[in-house]
Amino acid sequence: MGLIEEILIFGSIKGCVYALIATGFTLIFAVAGILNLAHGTFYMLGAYFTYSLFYSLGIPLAPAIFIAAILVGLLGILLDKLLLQPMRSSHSYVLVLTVAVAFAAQEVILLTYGPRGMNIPNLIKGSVSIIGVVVSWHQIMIVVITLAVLLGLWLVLTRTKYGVATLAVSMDELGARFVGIETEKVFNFAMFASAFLAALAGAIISPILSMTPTMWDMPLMKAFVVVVVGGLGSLTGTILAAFFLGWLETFTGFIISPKLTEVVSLGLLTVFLVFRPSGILGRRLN
Amino acid sequence: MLQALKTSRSRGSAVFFGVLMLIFYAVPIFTDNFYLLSVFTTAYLYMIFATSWDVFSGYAHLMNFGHALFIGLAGYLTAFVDRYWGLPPIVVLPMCAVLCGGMGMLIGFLTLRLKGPYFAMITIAFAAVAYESAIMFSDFTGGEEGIPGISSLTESFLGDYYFILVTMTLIYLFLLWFTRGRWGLLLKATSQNEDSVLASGIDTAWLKIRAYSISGALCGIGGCVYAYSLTHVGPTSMEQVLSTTILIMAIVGGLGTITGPFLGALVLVLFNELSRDLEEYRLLIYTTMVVVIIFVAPRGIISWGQPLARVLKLSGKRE
Repeated sequence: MGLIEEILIFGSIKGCVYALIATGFTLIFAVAGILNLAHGTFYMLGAYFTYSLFYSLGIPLAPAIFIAAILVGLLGILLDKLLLQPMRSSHSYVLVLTVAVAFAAQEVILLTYGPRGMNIPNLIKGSVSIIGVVVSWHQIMIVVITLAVLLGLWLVLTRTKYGVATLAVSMDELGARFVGIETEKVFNFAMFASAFLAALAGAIISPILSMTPTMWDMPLMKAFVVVVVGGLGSLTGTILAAFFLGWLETFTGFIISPKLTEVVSLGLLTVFLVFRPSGILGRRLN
Repeated sequence: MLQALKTSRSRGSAVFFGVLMLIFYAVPIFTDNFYLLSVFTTAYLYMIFATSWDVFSGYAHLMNFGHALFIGLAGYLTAFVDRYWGLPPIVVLPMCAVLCGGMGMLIGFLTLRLKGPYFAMITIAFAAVAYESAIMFSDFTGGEEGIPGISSLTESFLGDYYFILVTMTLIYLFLLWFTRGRWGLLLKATSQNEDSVLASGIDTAWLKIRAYSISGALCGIGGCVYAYSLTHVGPTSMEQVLSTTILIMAIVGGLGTITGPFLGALVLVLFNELSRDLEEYRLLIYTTMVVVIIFVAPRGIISWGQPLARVLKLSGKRE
């Protein structure tokens, strides 16, 4: 059981979750210019909705996760239409509104479910040994789901009319409007996809990390780091950076000290902001 | 006309804030109720936090989501210095200001040279990592418990009250002077149209970095006094909730006015004390309040002052 294999495998699993979270975060930024500080809230709601659908309504786990993610996606559109759309011209107010929503959601969840950590069961029980490393089937499912969803997103973005319109808006909103693209519909799609991905990440991680009302700040911070490292607005860069961060954190945790895993992301962030603020694959913001 | 508007407004608010300050200084004459005085002390501390937040974020219109970082940094420095060297508060205060000002300069240097939303993101990240580190490196910081037993500010409770009040007054007056002059104007101009300020030969990045550093230094002074008055420092002093509360106070009061956040902090702290029964809904109420204010009165409750002053004939003649 080599250390390198272990770091590679567990780092990749971490990287998958980071990729799911950060892709949505960068998508809505690229398309609508919204830096969504309530992105972690979508992640949290995905987990709690799945919990309710599974335990209270008795829906089997896999469809419960799917329905929860769709519900959160619709909530994302609602949030955009109700609060963000009138304020979209002001970066600062969008930031403040989304932070307000994040804390309000935290309180609502706290009052509804209580502060106690909760879990949902694994999708598939049991574990398996891959090149000498014991991995649970659920962790393999996380990787499979992530790869499938990201492939799906890539196909939608490059092969469908909606997707191409979305990419067009992310490159030049005014130009896209000139050629007849309805930008509001594209914003809806991007918001839905963004919230859907975050909710999915929250739901599939909650058998491993228990859900609490304050679980939203960790993914938000990781999404920042990944997005800065990958380049703000670049989807490929984001996915690469997500795996890079996953491996680097696991490496630090295994080799140096588990205490330092949280500091890794900040160090990475600082280094990139000083030496390469446009990230690995980003365009310069100007 | 603009000039007339400006003077009439400042005369009205000068009267109002003069009276308010007199009341603050006179409170201990009328009551020696420990609880009431400590509510006022809390309000003064939050006024320091909110106004020092406003001098950068309100004027440059760049949201700082991690202002509590400075409170925590200053608090821990205070605790260390007090425990190991036993220096008096009057020496520790400038140390905190220098540390937090330096931290502000570092964060500013990392982010404010760049365009784009890096600043807001980094402020959250730094505060979050500082919070995590305070819990994790418990050998130095006492973990979740924090460091208790910091010596008190002065000999008596009344002394503490006046120490904090005087600190607050000095910071408030400094900020008024600072923002009503060249600095405030330049920062506001930068937030409106950075290119034209650059074209006038002003290094806007350096301007913003210095302003953020001043914001940090003043908040550091507040954080130091805060730690002394609680005689305890813990990771909660760096929590995201605290940063957000400060931001909400400033926005509810009115961005980029200094007096607005001053008033916002007072109103929300008093509201907080009056609504003890609603304790568990407090954050929900605060966040709803800020959302409503952004839509109803984006310039904060301070913008209601002018029509009010006109009704009360406080503002004198107006064209």
